[in-house]
Amino acid sequence: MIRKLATIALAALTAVALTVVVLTARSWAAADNAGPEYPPTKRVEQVDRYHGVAVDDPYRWLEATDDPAVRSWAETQNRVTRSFVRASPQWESIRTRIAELQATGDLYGVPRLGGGRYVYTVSEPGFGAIVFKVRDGLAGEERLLFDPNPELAEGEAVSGDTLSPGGRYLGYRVATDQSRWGELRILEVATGRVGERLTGLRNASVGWLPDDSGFYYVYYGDSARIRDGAAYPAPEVRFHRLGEAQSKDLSVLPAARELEHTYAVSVVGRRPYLVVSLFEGTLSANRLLISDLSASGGPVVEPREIVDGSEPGIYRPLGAADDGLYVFTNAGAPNGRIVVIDPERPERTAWREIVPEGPATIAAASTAGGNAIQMIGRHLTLVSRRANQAWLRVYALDGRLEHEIELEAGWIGSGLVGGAAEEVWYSFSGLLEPQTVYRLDFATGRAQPFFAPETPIDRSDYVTRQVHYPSEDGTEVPLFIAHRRDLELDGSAPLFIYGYGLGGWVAVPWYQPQMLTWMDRGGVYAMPGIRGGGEYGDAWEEAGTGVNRQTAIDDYIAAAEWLVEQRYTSKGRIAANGWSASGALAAAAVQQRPDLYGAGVIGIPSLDLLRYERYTPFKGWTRGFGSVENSMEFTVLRSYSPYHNVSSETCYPPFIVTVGEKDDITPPQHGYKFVARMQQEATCS
Amino acid sequence: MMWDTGHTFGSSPEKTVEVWADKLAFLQRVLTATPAGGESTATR
Repeated sequence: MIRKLATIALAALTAVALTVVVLTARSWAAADNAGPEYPPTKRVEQVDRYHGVAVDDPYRWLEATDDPAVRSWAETQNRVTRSFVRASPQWESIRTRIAELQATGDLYGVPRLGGGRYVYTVSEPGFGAIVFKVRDGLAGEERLLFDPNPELAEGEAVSGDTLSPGGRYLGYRVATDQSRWGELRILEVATGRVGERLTGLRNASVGWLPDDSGFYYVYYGDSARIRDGAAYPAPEVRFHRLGEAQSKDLSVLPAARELEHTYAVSVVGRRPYLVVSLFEGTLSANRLLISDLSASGGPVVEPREIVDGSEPGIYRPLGAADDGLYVFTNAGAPNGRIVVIDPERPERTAWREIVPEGPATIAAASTAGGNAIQMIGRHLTLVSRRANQAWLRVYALDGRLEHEIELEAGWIGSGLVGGAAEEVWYSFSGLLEPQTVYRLDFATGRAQPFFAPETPIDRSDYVTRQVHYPSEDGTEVPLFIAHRRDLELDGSAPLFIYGYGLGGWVAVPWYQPQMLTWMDRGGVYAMPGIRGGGEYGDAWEEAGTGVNRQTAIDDYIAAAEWLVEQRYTSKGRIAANGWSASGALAAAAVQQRPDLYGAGVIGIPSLDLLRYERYTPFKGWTRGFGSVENSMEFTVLRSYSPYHNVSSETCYPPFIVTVGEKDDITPPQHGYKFVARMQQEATCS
Repeated sequence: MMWDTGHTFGSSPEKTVEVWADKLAFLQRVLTATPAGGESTATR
């Protein structure tokens, strides 16, 4: 399936190929340090016109990230940065402590069940190498199933897997060249032999036939990795028969009509049905097509439309029972509901509601790393959230609530994963709890840790709070705060604040060794659930999205002001942190209130919001940010785009900016151009 | 069915730790008791 927005990866990931730092003269005086000598950066004459408005772009040349001159510039920036930060006498002890806290033992993935076997990944913490292990049944002895690492080339990593229903085949995706593109390699479980290797896939989203004989998948063409504004190839749905060459794969649905269109596939029910989701240029709405495979006589089918998308929204197929297809939708129900659709009578008036919309939002995607709504056996499992609270709920297929568990503040990284008919698995991490795999038994309604890492801290040494603060317009915004129990809140503590607030992502904490290290050194960690996120459903998201983006920035700023008032910290002691799409949020907040913050910590960021659409074929942010093609949206983007709001009359706090050299969602030119402009144009007297 | 997990870039546990050490060492140097201050002329 496809994520709603690229929010998932902000959890715990900090893979960075380059670090650059921006420090200004006045900041140096405050820090009582000598500043580095920045390398000179060439300016070019480049003026663009948007809706009659001239906008200059003097560092346009840094967009050519593979150009030797740009690479040389970036290497110089790296040298300058490292010579500064690694000269700190604290650096080695900080590194050692983060590494200790990261070494929580092996990390277990959530098991997948097929043919009575449980198969799961085991990896070193962080980005360690993955191996596959297996147990015959829950009580079975763990043994190594397969170690894919000897066959991985330089730059390749395992990033996804899928087990066939009968457990005969394990498909695992190998990402190449640090990109979204990769191979799906097929392992025969019984022999440990790797068979065919399929190319042209962007994920491991496949729909297996129940007899393990083959699967449907979305094929993006046999293309090399695509960057620099080129569109992704138009995808098609194909069928692969196990044991055959990919060149013999059958086309089920032809290439999508438009390049921005994409598919997701699944095979559900005993009948079974092939269900295809068609996304037409947005990941926030889709249509559904279905085909009864029992009636088709072969894998090549002609799916017919059962949801036409006339009421826009997400329609996600969950599974099928005798009465039809169970579908989650937020169309006309912003908090989400589950309906059953009879494929023979797909008209909307015949839909039957199973789980009605409630005051809490069913977490469709953005608050969990995987699919947070599952049909398992004759049960529906889902996670609902409202502000700081979350519940894991299990329903019977008639809509009766069977079990409800209130979850601690934390991140369900795996989503919900079905095992046997009477269980659901998920991985959970909180700020003080490393990733732990839980199993919820439907018979008892109890969730218990199954794979639990060692916890290298005493949780009682820390305090976490969930509070609310008033934003600029008086709206109450949820806020998560953590610090050591023995910290004196006299306003002297430094504070690290992270915000995202886009695409309905809900601000929930996850295990972060670096933030434990920060707290151990006297710092406070804060994370507000600003508007643009999904704390209170679609209305909350809308209020901080697109032309309303300044509201999200205002919420982020108001959190820092409130934390100063409450004496958690003081002005100038606050590090504004943003990641990915929220790089622009944090950088804009610092630019708008340089008096409030002492530093900006910006990772894999979006910072040039007038040209971000050209940098990547990824379209997931057009709704979140808006587009320069629209004059009103352009005006808003121009007003806060950090690259375009560097004032030569302002002394800004220092920034440290990290980029992923190979990232194709927020490619490195965002960081390069922002850094160049801040170094060359901002001034301090 | 699996979800696309967003950004793609390679790294190692060691590199992840080093980059965070860079960031926290940076903050330790620049977040002094004296606010950096600054008069903004930026408009909102």
